[in-house]
Amino acid sequence: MTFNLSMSGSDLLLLLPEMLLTVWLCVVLIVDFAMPRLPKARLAYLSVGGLAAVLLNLLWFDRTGVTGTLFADMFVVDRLAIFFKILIVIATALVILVSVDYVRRFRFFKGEYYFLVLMSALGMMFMASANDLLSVFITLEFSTFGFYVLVAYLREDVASNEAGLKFFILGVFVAGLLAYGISLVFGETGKLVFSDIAAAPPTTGLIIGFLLIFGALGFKIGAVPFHSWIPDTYHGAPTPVTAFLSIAPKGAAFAILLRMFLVSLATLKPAWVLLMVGVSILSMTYGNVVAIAQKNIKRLLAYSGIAQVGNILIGLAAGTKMGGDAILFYLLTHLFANLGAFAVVIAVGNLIRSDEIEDYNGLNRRSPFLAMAMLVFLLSLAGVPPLAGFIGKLYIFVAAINEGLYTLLVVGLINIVISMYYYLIVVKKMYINEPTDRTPLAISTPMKAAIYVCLAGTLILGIYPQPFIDWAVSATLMFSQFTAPAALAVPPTMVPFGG
Amino acid sequence: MALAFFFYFSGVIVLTSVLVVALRNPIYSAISLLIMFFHVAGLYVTLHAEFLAAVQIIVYAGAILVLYLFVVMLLNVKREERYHAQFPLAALLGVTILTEVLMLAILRGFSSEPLPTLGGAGQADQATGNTETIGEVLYSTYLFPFEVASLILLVAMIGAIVLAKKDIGLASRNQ
Repeated sequence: MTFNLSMSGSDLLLLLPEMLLTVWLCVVLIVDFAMPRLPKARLAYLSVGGLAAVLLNLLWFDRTGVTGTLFADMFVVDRLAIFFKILIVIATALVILVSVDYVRRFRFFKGEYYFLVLMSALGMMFMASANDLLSVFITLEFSTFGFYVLVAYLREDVASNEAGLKFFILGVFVAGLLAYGISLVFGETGKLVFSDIAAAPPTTGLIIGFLLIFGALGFKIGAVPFHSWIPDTYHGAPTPVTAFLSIAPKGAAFAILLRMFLVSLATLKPAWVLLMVGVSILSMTYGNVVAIAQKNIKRLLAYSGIAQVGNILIGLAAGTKMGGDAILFYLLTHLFANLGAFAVVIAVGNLIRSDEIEDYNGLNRRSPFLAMAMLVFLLSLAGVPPLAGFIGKLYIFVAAINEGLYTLLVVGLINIVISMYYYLIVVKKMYINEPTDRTPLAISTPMKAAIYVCLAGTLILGIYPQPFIDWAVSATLMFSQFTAPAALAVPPTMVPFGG
Repeated sequence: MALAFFFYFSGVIVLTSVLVVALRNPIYSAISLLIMFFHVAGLYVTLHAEFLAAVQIIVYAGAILVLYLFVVMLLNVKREERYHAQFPLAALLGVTILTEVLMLAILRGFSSEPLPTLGGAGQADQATGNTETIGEVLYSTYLFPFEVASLILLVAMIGAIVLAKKDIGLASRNQ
């Protein structure tokens, strides 16, 4: 009997960011258990410190161009994976910073909250590196497990419990769909690695399998018609968890979607472009139209998130390397604008205990800083120059024009106008309406830090986007030869650590 | 000899499966299900799928069925009459599906040729047992999903405690 692991110590270094995070989250858990008197805010800073170390590690990987695959091509570290991991780590750190005040609302298990957030982040980092369908399934389930618990974290709150239950039942159903789709693809091709599947001829079973997998990933990103869980779950979940849900899992799922559609299904592009165009138009229109009627800011942001996913899918519909770049850049702008908007919602919610849009009346008089920040984030989400959202939308539309998708372009532009309407309603309430209560609002330091980071991100990406565009372009280099049927995620000649 | 075992196991499986739905006492139904699981495991052994047989007993008979029994006992269901009115419908559906399977079997014919196997690491080595092969593959080719599964267990454990633990005694620790 031969036992061949074909893995060396230096190969394991490719897993360093994940291993670092695994060790760190165990440290957080143990510190929480061993020192019950430690203020929970310290635990948050401890978690952010760990994430900073992981971020440094990832930046080092990015600078030195570390690439390679592990575990028989199941786990890949390439520029794309590193980009998405950096995105996820930044999102997680910001979410932990905005959670510090909110966690005081939980009656129990305040420390475990940070552990579960880190655990979900770890799952999503694995998702960014998933290079075959088996690891897609297991990493996707892993990251969702933490969210099942986090969504229902307010145990005394009926809405939170309902949100958790809905998310769980639909999530389990979707896991079934995903497993079924993967089994069909495996049954048709006998392969699991994305680049190996690329050579397979399109049979009925394969197409149904990929449609099922797309449905499962569509559920993760919340695209219409897989969006039904979004409004209630976003509304009921603790707001920092909503903020986390609204960006990080979407990013990780887009990493998988890009790998699947631009590598495995590159040769079938004419067939799936129509699917993408349809889902994109539905998501944009539905999200924006329904958002107009919302009275609750969390629901408004939930529907606007659905619409934003529609925008991002334009890039996938383009199906080119440029479309991929645009998706990456758009996600980066969405990270700061969306998390920033949620940070303001959390700050206001902590102080006035309400998420109704009515209660944002006259926010400018009560806290000019929060009102100004919200204005910037909403305008960026709407796509107003010179903010980040404008460049993101422009980039994605140009990618669509290059592929001649004029219908999508027209629908997208109409939707920008619709979205402008409901974003500006919130702005009007903040700046023009008179407040019912004039007490000024005080903001805590970690919250302020997170909002400043988001503001800086939104402004820098809007005014000086070039380095970030270059970064996105270099992250998707592997898709440049995507029309070749055997596009490899990582050329086999590349050795880890450039050696 | 193998044929005798096959008919014994499949006969008991059919009988106990009918009993699971026909018996009125939920406890008896659960016990019939347990007997069925054991005989399915026996069928796997005759097919040289020892690993599957062990998993069948450990997971289905050992864990899932005990869970069923717990639920039945906790809910204290003595007799369940609600679903027995559906018997004619169930019989009709069952007969339809059985006819379909039989027709497929007769029309396509039984083939003695081995099924086409997919290449790759999953192929069982005849010399070593399939348990060894699965173990070897699990710790080499599929090491990554295996390790991630261990993390899933950790997050599920903590999540279950967070969601289900009673409030008593927690207030003192957390406040």
